[in-house]
Amino acid sequence: MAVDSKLWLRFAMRRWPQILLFVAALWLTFSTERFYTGSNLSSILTRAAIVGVLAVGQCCVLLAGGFDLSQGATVGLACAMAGTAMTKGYDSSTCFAAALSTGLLVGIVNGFFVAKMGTNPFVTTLSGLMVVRGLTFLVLGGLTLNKLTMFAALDSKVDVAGVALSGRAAVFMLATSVIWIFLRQTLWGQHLRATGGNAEAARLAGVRTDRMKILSFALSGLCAGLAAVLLLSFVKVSKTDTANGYELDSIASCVIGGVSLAGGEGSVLGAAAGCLMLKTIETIITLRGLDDQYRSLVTGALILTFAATDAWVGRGRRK
Amino acid sequence: MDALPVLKMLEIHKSYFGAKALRGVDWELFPGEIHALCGENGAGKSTLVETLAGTIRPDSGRILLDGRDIYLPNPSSALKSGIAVIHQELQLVGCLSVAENILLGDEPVRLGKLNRRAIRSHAAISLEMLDAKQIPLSVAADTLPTGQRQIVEIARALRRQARVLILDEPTAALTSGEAKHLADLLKSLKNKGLAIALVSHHLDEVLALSDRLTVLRDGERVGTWQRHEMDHEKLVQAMIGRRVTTGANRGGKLLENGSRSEILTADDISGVTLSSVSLKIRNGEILGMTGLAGAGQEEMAQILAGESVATSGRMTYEGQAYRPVHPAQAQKIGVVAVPADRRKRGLIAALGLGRNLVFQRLRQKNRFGFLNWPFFWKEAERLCEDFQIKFDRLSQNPLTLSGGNQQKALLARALSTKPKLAILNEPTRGVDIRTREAIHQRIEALSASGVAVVVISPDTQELERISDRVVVFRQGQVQCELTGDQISERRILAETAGVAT
Ligand SMILES: Nc1ncnc2c1ncn2[C@@H]1O[C@H](COP(=O)(O)OP(=O)(O)OP(=O)(O)O)[C@@H](O)[C@H]1O
Ligand SMILES: [Mg+2]
Repeated sequence: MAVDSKLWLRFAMRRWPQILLFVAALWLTFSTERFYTGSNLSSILTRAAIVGVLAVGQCCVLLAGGFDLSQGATVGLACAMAGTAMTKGYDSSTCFAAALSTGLLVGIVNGFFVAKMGTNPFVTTLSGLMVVRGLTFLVLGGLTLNKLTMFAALDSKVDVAGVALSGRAAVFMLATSVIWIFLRQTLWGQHLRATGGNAEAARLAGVRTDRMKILSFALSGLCAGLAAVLLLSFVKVSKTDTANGYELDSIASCVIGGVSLAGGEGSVLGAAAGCLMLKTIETIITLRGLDDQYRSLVTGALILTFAATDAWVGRGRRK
Repeated sequence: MDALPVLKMLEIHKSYFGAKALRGVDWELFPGEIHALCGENGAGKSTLVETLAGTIRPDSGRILLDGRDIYLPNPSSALKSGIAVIHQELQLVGCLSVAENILLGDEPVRLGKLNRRAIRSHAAISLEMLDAKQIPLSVAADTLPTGQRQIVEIARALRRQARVLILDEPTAALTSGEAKHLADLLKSLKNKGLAIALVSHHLDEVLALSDRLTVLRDGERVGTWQRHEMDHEKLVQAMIGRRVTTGANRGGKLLENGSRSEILTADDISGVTLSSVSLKIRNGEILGMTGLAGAGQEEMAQILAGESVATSGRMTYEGQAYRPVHPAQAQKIGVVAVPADRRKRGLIAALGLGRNLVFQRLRQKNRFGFLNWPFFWKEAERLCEDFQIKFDRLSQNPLTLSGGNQQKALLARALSTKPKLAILNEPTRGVDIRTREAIHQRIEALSASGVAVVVISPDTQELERISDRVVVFRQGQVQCELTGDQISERRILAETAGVAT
């Protein structure tokens, strides 16, 4: 088509805040001497893996027009369940199943309330967050489980096409691609996006919108279960406040990655990329010798600047 | 007209990513005239109007008010300059009361506190000036029928001392009674010296109301004429560049072979607005359903399509009991509906035009849930050509299409599913006359191929043109059923109002 030559221009215009941020991240990367040394570069992906997987799940919920605040708590509960399973002597694949099914179950319950009872996603997952934290406390009996080594295998490096990749990074990339393909290429993926774009129109066009909402929360829960596995492979500890506040990082990643909070627009690739950028910036701040307390300040300011530019650009985009 | 123009536009250009919507349009509006703006779907009428509303910035060109250049970067600057635009999608705040809406942005305040009594009295005066005292002041705006909402918007505009009033397709969603009331109102405002511009696809209405007419085609001005220089045929010629012959009225063609089998029967259906309505729909017939807003025809259509559920009653479809609780169930067995409100209930902006066009067929063509996109893209292109949808690219947001093209896209989406029973809510709302005829012909072809078609429309002319049978609803019940040569505009109008002999 003749318009194809303009396609990149249109893309650049729609996505220029992301592009700008990406360039800024690159510039920071190369202007920070120590960043380039050693394992830093290769470990960004590993570092981003846990929140990245959450962001991919969050993206599914946002696309379907929802919002999931219970992710961090769900990771905590899934860790506790998997940890308890290990202390009871089960093998690692059972622990793995325990983590995933815990996440899935929490997601389905969230989705059920939102879709069938009609409760607001924000309220539902906020109360879900509290209930799930409470359950975690009960499961752990207030104690901390140590030496949870059942997923330690994921901590080692695998060789993918000549690049040494940690197991965690590989899982992150795999999860992102699977969900990306699911959303892009399948019937349910289209229906899910349509539900978030315009629920009423989608229903009239024959989409089972309530099922799609449940599906989106189930995916988010499943991702939380997977994130719990990745987290355990790394810290090997399960506490009552494990993964506290991770849902905010995942939402921030989605926002940076151009996923619309109003539903329907965005992609999991964007969410994953947003998470990578977030982690890059955090790492650079640390490397530049800024105190940890500035990290939150700087990232927060960056996200706000980013969102403001995005909204400003969006004003021209709408008719 | 020897006075000076209030508003003058010179060489207005506007393009979207290379697609030119306006190419150097000149336009003048005089005080005390009603000026009609005509053109096919996508001709650029709304774009021109929106440059005056401050919602679109032209790429180049000048806008002069009283001979002085003005710049309209946003809607409030347009209002301040005395230009009020009533958009086709009304802009009232639904949850606020009528009075609050009229005074919105201009509320009387006393000692920092809203003066509620003054709001009511000012609003009452505004409505009285428009002879619309019957509109209640304290109900929420979204509970009013469309015609009254429009009057509330006009009242709001006039409170802001508007000198130029522009209405974009104001009558597309009105019943004929409401449209007549609006016409009277516009005439009286014109006599008070307002400059009024009107966009409409109803050519009879345009010819009855306007003093001058401007025709746009493909973003260019074809010309401006005095009313007496124009007639229906010339106007169509100017808009389209050739004549359009409308097909003959059907006049109940099916009457002779009335032995057709029934595809759907509804017995004793009650709902929110309906009380015990019975209906039969036959294969291959075009059934018109009409009535005043809220008289029951809309709800009946929703119940038939599974969009809402009847509180009591029975339906059968192809001889089987039929009680869909979700549109998906209806669609699976060949019942498909096209909603009237294409922006809110029809198109899905987030998906882009191409995906919207094939959206209802995704279930039919996939392997284990994986969609055959190359097939669907080809299909979408074919539909655009088949339905003559004027578009820029398939990934375009469908809501940036012109109104008539949105309608065509929605019809294409539904009809490409090959339904057995098609329920079309206002299929030609906001559609130009060439496309209107094309849609009518398509509906006839559909019925000729055996599909049962239900058309819900307030447009009596349309019903007379295409229906085999018309069911008129009134206060939740079937007022009467017209067949054959009983189907006439006058008869339908009389029956909807309940004043039939
Ligand atoms: N935001 C946009 N992006 C891309 N194209 C647009 C946008 N807005 C309008 N257009 C294009 O500009 C052209 C003119 O549209 P416009 O809405 O002015 O037509 P119109 O004369 O009002 O038609 P209708 O009678 O159907 O309402 C159309 O081809 C439309 O597709
Ligand atoms: Mg228009």
